[in-house]
Amino acid sequence: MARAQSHEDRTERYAAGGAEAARDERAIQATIDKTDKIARQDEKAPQTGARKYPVPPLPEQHQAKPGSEAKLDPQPMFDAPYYKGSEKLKGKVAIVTGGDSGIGRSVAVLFAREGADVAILYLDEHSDAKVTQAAVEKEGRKCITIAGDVAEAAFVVTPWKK
Amino acid sequence: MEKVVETFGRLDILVNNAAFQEHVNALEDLTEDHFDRTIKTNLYGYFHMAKAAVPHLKEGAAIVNTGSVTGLLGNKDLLDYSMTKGGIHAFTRSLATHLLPRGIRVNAVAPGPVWTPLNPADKDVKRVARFGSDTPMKRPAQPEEIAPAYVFLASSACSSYITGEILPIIGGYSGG
Repeated sequence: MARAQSHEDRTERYAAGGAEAARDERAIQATIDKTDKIARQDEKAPQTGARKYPVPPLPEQHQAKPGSEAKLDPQPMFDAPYYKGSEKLKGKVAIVTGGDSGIGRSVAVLFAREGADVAILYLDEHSDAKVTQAAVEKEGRKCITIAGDVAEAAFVVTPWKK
Repeated sequence: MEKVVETFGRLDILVNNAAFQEHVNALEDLTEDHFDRTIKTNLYGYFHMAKAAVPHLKEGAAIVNTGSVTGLLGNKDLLDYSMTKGGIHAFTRSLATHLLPRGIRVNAVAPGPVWTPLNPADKDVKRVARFGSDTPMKRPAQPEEIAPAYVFLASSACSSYITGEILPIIGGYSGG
């Protein structure tokens, strides 16, 4: 008899504990709810770089393939003025495919800043490739540009004759 | 390849980066020609370049491939492109171990949204305008925020014990 009573007592105590925990949870929630409105206002893009970078909305635009860096607005930031070279690639020679623009252009420039000569392979964006070439040469390194399709085995592997 | 080696007398670093990307709104819109083009540039291109470069590469050389966040997480509109990028990641890992006995390291950078001609030459005007805003950084990367990782992975002064890695540069993680 005493055992059964003790079982009921425990059941009640657990139920009361559950109700108390739920009240505590709602109290925590109420405090956070008040901060949500403030947090939502603080959703601007963080600037983590050595210089400020553009944030959407960016200008609406569309390009024909393969795309031209010269026509992009705003102009992609590729020259990393705060990046100082320290001969990490001194005397090396690198090939960068798609090196006329975008990530490839920036890679070509930083490789040159680190002491490498660079060959740029690109599809047919000749004016973009010239800009990359000039940027590499500005770093004091040599740059050649070669137009062609890397998907074509013959372009990549055929022995070159002057 | 021959022209490069003839001009400079050597080759130390190959960066496979050239890519084709064109979204589709429905799987049924993905034509054979479109699918072929993506695979030709993004996979055959990397394969051809690696095959042609390796005979010229000496101990201490490095290959750095451009992968993509889409090859890690998938992308609902870039079915073919994300497939090639996942392939590039696997190729990077396999080729790394394959070439290690020759002292050649192979790694990949997997960028998130980057402000380059690739995306405005793919996406419609509205999507270009909000490009990158879904990342925790709430903006696209600029190329100069990605390029230092290529220096790091190309330089034996920085990464001599690193090979077969895929380095995501995607502006942070969000569990949805």
